[in-house]
Amino acid sequence: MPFSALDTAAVARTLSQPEDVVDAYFERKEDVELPPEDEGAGLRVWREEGFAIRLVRAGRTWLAARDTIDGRPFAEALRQVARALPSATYPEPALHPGPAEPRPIPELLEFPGAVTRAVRNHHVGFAIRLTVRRHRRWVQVVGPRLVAGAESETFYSVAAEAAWGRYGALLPRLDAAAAEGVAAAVVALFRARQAPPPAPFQGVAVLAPAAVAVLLHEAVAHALEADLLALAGNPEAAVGVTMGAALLDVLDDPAAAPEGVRRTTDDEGAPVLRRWLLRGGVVEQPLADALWARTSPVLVPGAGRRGSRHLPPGPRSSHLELLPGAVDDADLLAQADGGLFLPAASRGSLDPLSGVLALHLPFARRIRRGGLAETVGPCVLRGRVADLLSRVTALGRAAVPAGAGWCAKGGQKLPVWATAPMLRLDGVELAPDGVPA
Amino acid sequence: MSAVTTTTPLQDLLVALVRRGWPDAEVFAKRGRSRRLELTGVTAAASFSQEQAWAVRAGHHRGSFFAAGTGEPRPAGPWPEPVGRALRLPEPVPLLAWNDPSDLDAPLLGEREGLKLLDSLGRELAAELPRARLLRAVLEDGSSESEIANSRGLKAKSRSRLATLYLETAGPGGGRSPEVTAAVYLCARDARQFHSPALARRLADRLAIAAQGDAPQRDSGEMLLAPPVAARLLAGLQPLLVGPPGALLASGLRAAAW
Repeated sequence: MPFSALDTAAVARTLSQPEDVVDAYFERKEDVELPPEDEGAGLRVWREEGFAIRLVRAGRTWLAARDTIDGRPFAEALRQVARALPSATYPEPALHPGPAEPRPIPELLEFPGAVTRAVRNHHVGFAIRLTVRRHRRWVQVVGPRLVAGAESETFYSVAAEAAWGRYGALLPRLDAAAAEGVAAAVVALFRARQAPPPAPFQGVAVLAPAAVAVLLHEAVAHALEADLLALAGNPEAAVGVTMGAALLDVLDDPAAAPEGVRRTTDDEGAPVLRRWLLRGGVVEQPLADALWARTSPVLVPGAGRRGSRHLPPGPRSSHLELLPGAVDDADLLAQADGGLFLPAASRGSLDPLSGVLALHLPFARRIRRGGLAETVGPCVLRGRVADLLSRVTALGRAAVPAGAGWCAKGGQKLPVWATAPMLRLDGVELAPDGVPA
Repeated sequence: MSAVTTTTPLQDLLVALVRRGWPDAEVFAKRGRSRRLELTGVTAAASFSQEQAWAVRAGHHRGSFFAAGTGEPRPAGPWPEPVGRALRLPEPVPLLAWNDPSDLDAPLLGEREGLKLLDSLGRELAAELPRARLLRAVLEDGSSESEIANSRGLKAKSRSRLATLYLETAGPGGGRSPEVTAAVYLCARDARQFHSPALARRLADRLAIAAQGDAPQRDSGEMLLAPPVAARLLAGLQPLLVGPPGALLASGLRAAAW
């Protein structure tokens, strides 16, 4: 742990502001990239560390950040946040982070070959540009009264580019199953490359866990972030509102995320909780950070995340869980004759003011006689959040790790994870992608 | 950009890399400072950052690496092992005479000055279009100095200055929706060049069009593009023209056309 030698007690003493939210956030990040073969240089390594000091008073936030961890810049940043005169002196705590500990990365170097072999096992061959990265991050948050334990995360990202499309994924580990997952996804894109988009469609759609993950992220997580709720009114007013079908139980539980990215505290040092976003389709606990939790006793902190020390934290989800239902996957398809099966979503978006959600699907499959039939090309599922979620009529019996992706809300890029079963939506509308709503 | 003598830490790093057996080496260092002000309907945030970072690419005829980090670069590393292809570093070329624009030296916008600009934007928008409001306004103002040197003799320094303004607004809707939104994302060298009355008018126009304007029917024929639209069109084509992914994308387009 790079922060084990920080004098956190001395830092805490400098932050003493009982009526305000005040904290010091230390972070170290390391990204190692194996670029595609056609891009000249070998391994690319980014290592960065720094800190931010934050003060929240009466709804206003002041933050000062530096790209180094040392006593003098720390004291200078404290003075800036306190908006004190340059002549004011602040103590310089001893801040000596541990040295960088480069770790061998054979898994990174071997992964492109493993994906190529897995693609061949599908009896196809095509050129893809594969970029593989390992992401590591260490975080230490110090408040005036509480020093949270240091946290660390390690995960991988893969981007595959081809002339006919692009696929990206976040992975907790790079193993044979991960290589097969990436290969299966790019092979599916390859086989769908000439499929014509469907005509405007209204009917039943069955979503695979990967598409459910994007739906949950946009329709439940973003829709229940305190800062986005505030755009339309008082965030606490959302509590108790029926937002979806009664069979929807959705949680955000950072402590249950895949090994390597599990957290016990958030990026503000608050303990994370198993947060029921929807229980029986009713809003129970919106996502809140320390700033929003101070606006209402109904809002509980623990979901504060930071994409960068240079920006203040905000309420975000980490690991969404949709609790499973009671229907076998085969029965879900059998009961959706004439509908569409949506294996994966390439991206989603939510307009927080209108509540309109768009889920972009790179391809879909027709469902005929309980099985998957012909492929159709890019399409988009669009609708108002409450309407879409009320159309959930069945959930699969098996909740599985449903993949993950980057979320870039407000310019803060963060990984988000999900566990979900298959899901059936009745009476939804899909249109060919690229056609205005 | 100007040709210069590099500072000692950068030169020391370059020498250390070459001595480690990597004759092709290039080092880049950058320092910057920025202020960021964000207003929403209920929150206000002011951030001030001092950034310092460096990047190195180096290698030999059997491979290369790229490494980057924050703070001061340390000649001792740690550095990754060179793998993959060798590097092809640029040779130095003579530079044309260049004088820095005077506004590079203008101080960053102060916190009060910036918040005043954002506050006035909200007021002027409401005056232009009743019931219009600012949902989110983010003003960033920053400056930086950077330096680059490589083992082929290239040495250069440059300074940068940029301010950006993001405005997200809502206004009264028409028949289809009770509220419509409009956003702009602008940049200028100096934040003092953002003119709040003109911006408020521009956003009010956008909101009025969003509320009352209808999308045109499908149409074809000659169209005259205003310069900002043409610039966006060209920016959209840029990925086709840059690096190996561009060739891949272009081949995909050719296949689609055939």
